[in-house]
Amino acid sequence: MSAHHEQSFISKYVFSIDHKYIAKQYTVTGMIFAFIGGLFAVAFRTQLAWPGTNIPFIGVLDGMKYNMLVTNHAMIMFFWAGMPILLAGLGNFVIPLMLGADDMAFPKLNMLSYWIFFVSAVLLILSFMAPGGGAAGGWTMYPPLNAQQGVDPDANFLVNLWTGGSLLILAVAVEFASMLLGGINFLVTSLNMRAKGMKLMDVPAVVWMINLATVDFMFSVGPLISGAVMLLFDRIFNTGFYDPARGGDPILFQHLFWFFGHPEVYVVLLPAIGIVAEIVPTFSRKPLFASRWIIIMATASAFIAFIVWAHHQFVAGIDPRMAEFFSITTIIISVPFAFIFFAVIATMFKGQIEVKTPMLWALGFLVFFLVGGVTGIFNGSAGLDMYIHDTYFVIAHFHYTLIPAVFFAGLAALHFWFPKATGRMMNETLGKLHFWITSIGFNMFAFPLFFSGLYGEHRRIFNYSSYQPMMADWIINIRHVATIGAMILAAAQVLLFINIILSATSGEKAGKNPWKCNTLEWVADSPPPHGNFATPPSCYRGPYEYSNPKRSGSDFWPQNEQ
Amino acid sequence: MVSLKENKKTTNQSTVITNGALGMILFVATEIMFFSGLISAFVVNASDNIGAWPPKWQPRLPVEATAVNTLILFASAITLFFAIRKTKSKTDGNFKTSSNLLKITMLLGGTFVALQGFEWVQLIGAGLTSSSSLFGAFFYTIIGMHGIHALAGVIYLFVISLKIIKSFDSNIKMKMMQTLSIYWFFVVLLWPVLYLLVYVLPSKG
Repeated sequence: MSAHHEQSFISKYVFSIDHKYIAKQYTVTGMIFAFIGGLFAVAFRTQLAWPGTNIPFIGVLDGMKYNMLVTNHAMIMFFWAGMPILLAGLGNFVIPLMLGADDMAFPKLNMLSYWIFFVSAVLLILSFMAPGGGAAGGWTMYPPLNAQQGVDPDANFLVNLWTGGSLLILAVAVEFASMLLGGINFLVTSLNMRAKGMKLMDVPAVVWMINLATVDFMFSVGPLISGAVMLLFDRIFNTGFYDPARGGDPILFQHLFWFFGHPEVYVVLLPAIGIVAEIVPTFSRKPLFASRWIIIMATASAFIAFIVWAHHQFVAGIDPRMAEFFSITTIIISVPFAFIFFAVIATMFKGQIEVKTPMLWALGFLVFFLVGGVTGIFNGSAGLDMYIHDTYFVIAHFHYTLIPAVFFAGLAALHFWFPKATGRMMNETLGKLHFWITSIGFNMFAFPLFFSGLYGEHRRIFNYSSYQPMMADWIINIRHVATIGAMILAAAQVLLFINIILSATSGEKAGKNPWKCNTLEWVADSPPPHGNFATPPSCYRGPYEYSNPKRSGSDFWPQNEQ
Repeated sequence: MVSLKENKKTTNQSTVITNGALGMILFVATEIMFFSGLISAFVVNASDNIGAWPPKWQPRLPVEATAVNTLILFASAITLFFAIRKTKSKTDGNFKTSSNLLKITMLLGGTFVALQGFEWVQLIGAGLTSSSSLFGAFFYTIIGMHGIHALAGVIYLFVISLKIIKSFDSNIKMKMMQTLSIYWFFVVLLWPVLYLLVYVLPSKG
């Protein structure tokens, strides 16, 4: 294993091929973008609560600027924060370590994947500098608006390429190329490079979930890329694929988009569930309840995820018989997730629960995601969705799914694997304070929106002053509370930055296995050297043997010990 | 494709399929989904515009000339097949023959792309452009996307044909050939589907 030779500065810190360092690059980039995306949200929420406020660095928002912030908030949070943190960052860190491998199957491809991602981030930033500003057509990029906004049909194609809308499409396409390379790496590594003796069912749930998410991503992204290529050609080559006046079909884009867009939700959700499925048994000192069935159910949901997409299009004029089909599949997909939820809760039953920071975030995920999951059933019913479509009810619903998934589960993972990544423990007091302030801010921001949404508040209006029914006192108060909540949520993240910097420099030293955990990454040193393991570990059992009566002397049984 | 270098140090379990081949199969699977998106968009628009697909005032596509071009592409698959068979005996002399067969494959693939470029120039001259009609837009997008893949494949064939005549482990050479062949067979086998859909079927109605 000494084949991993000394690295120069550039090959260690810039063009690194070490999966752990690439994971850190992805995570840090993702966190920076998450913060930017959050500030965008604070800016446009301020406009909603107090129309005409002069916002620092941005000024007074007009309709166009408001749309630009909303569009890019969603884009950034999904593609430059959610996926890099939960899929690329987490996957790169845990997959080789948990499988007992020395690195990914294709280390150079892995490095390439990060730098392609970096290029996509540069393209995203460039899109704001284009004449007319960034894209402002909504994150779903629906044509005909997005095929025409900022485009001059008579101009040279380079002129039309140098517009916010075109650059954003290009940035997203490049980002997907990066995630595709990463995904190939994940699947090949997981199938071909497991430790000796590790059967597929001995693979920890989080690795399973990341791979299922990767499958969902890889097999759904093709149609979206084809749709995006056609949209880009409409903008730069004047092709008219989505222009009804020339025989094109704008609904076609919606199908291509949501065929990807819905599995994408599970791309973010499945790794989050995997994280929680690792953390809850560790801090309850009990085996993961029905772990085999959790994996079967997650696999089932990953497949059902491909046949629910048109529930985003109930009001787009699709055939009611089709709407009925998609209503049914949408409600069916909640069954496997309900199963997984109950199984994770059953894991805690009669366990010796120790509420350390990672466990706190995992519990936060369980509680808050439930709200999002249950309200999803309302949106999935075609009849009810006609009414709540495009209202703040939908906004509240998906923030209750995505914020628990990306932030609560993501931060659970950060606190859980931080000792392994840096060799030092994170500060518990700061971590708990951060959790509670984040939870308060998040619920203050998202929960009231259910009510204003049910009242009929529409999501794509930047100033309600001229809509009298939307200016009742209570609904104005809701806007104020939600905006203050969003501000608290953003401000709380300062605590996280302080905690990361303090802990990484002067935190308590972590041993190899601070949480007394079974999986193979805890066999390596903290932080693991380039090449991970001193001797390649072998695997003798599943990952959740906590409090096994056959094991005397300790309540855990690492996978590599006989 | 050049960067698909394998991590050769540890493959802890005996694997059914090499890392390179598995990675390429996954890549091709996503490509198939990409072309499925384009094909379904084409079919949806064709059924929205029955009787005007392609519009009467637009030039017809050269179905017969492209049939010849299709045969050229098929021939490249056959030469690739023999190039792989030559590697089975693992002697360096045979890798020379394989390399030459790969270069012939590359030339056939290159001819296919060049003939298409020639065809495009004529069609644009005759008035079929990406903005003249929806059919034109689809024609250039779908056939162009396949053409880009064929062009990448030609470069890939060239790179591997140079690599396998250098002296190193013949098992690795065979793996490289295997990975390459998955990609090129994808390019070749996709073509008849697109030919039937874009050239043959619209010319009937």
